Amino acid sequence: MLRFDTSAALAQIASVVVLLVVWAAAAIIVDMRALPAPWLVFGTLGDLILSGQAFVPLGETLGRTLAGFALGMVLGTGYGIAAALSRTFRELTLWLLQISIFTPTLILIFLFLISLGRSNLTVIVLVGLVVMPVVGTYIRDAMGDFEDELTEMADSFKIGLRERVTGMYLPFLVPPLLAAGRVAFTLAWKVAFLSEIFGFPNGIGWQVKTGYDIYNIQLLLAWLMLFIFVLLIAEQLMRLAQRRFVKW
Amino acid sequence: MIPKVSLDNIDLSFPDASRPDGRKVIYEDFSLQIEKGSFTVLLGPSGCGKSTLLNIINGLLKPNNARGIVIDGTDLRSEPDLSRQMAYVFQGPRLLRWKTLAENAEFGLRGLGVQPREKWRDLIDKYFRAVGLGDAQHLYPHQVSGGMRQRASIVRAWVNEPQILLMDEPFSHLDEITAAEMRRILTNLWTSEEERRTIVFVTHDISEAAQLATDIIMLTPAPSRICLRRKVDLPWPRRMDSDEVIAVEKELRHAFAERAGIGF
Amino acid sequence: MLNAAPVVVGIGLWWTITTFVLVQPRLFPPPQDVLAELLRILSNDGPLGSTYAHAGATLLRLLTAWAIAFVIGTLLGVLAGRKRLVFDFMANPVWIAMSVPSVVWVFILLVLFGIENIVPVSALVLLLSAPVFLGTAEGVRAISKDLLEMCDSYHVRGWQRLTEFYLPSIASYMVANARVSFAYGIRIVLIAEVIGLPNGVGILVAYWSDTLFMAPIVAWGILLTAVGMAVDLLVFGPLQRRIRQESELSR
Repeated sequence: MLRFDTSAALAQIASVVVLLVVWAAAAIIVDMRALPAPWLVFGTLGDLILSGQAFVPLGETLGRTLAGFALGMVLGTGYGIAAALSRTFRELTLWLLQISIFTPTLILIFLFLISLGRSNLTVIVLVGLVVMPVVGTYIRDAMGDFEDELTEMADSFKIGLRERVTGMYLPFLVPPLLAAGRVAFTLAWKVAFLSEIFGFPNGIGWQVKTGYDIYNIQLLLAWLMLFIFVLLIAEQLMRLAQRRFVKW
Repeated sequence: MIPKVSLDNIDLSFPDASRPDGRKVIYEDFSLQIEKGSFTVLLGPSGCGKSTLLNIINGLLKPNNARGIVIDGTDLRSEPDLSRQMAYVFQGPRLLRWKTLAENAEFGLRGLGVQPREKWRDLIDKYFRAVGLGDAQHLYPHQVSGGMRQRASIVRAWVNEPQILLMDEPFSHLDEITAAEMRRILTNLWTSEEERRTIVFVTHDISEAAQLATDIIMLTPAPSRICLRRKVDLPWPRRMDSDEVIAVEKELRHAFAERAGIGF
Repeated sequence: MLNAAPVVVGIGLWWTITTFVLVQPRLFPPPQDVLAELLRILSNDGPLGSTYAHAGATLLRLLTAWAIAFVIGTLLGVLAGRKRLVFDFMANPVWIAMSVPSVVWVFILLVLFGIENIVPVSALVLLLSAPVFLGTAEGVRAISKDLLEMCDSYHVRGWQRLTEFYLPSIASYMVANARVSFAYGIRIVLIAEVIGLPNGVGILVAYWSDTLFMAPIVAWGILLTAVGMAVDLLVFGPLQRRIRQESELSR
């Protein structure tokens, strides 16, 4: 078990302090109206939270993010296991996977929002679609570490497919799933956020875009801070989960 | 008496580009009988196909040709489910690290499906106690020693109360002290049962063969032939330093040098 | 053949749906419309001037950002791989750089620098250096202590240590990083270009989205994806194989 690492914690705190100092310095040098200082931004953030204004947009973005994330994780894990088990499936989906790695995200966002309309479902499917290949390749590669020896053992004890998936593959995949989940959540959060900047009419991203449109950088940065904090909290939660659930 | 296992005229070869005829022959017109209730040791150097023989017996590997793969009088090929009457113990423990030792045993029970579910708990408990892991059965593999893990893998096989146990060099990765302990536990377990199970045990260790076997079959390197069959009629427990066991060993070493195709 | 089948089937489905089910060519362009737009782009014809000029600007920004990110990420990564403290210090800034979408960095940097190419390039550098940094740090941490001891005992220091020991040791990680960050770059370059620039595929795509004409957007998507895949196939693929072979031989 990891004891509390003081030097690591100090280094992490130090870096945040340095960033804040740089920010404050930049604000003072440039012009307070153009780039507001950290304390102003955090003040606005505080107002947003205390007045309750922060929560509706937060809920909207978070809701779509989680739904899309879940969709992507399920599809991606399914793909990863299937691709690891079946050569044919892997070959069939190879080009599709390659294409997904190189498709510009912005174009996907426009495609979905304009052609399929600005509904929650569109964003959820979009997020799921973007997350799936990332999770899929990760899980597929993780399955590659699944020892042939264990497969042989399962053969000799005549273990059926369902038991293999629930008793062997899924437990084996818990650590890589948690790791993939962290990456997937970050990605899902970003894509949902981006779709709000580029057209979807509510959520945190939309607030940021509005801040830019009315040239209220302070407001923009306050909403951005909220975006970052949620990400931070999610990361920490997943790190904790990783530590708790992986007993082996 | 009907032998427990009878392999009749087996041919097995693999494609091998490095050879002139493109194939490496492991077995050609090979036959083998294993008696019911015996502890038959297949002895031979690595690479002579001893492990593949085990896989032919349990049906996971199909030979190119075979006149018969007969278990207890019935050909395996006409009754594939006969393979559920056999349990395998590997060289490494091959335990699932996210399951406790007991859960690993249950995993095997579920797969082979020859024991009724109501009996599982009792079977698991009985056999873990028999090998000295009564309390440790609820631990995870990483919490126990290598020897204990291998014991657990033996229990996983044994809880199915199989007719035939196929054991593939199960102690070759253990240190000498742990291995000696394991042999003692294995023979104790085997001799404690009224109706002894048929064990087919593969090893390259001559001393181990002398300590464990009722029947020894020595194989040459591929293409494999039987170069020696010997019954070992010594009682258990056997001491590896007793005169009788050492005499058997000496005979085996002599045969090894002469017939197993090793140049000295 | 197995590889191509789903793509062919996909195109077939696309054609069927846009011809019989969702018939609205501006919004749901059938393959032939997209092809027409693709050819239009390739013939240098576009509403905002030469398409090649726009494409060139975008690719130039991407390459510049990718190269800078690679160098920064690798150097910092080596430092962080060696000294745990550096890694812990860099953890948060790297993570923030990764998490904030490039367009938001663009918002902020525009305020500071105005409409200059440095804005999208910096935004891209921030995002692309993170995976390179992380991958390099991991690679350096994987270097065996035995070899490090050997370097010490032969007094191999500084620049020599970096160029003759560290970099070759992590060669396979470096190629993987380059490959992955390039693909990432293709995916996000447009996002950094939508605002505050006189040229680039990003503003073209924004223009078309404003007029709700989807065919050219799909066409540009195909074009960029194809360029990305081509570079990956022709440059990174062989490079990665070479590096892998060399490291196998030296075992």
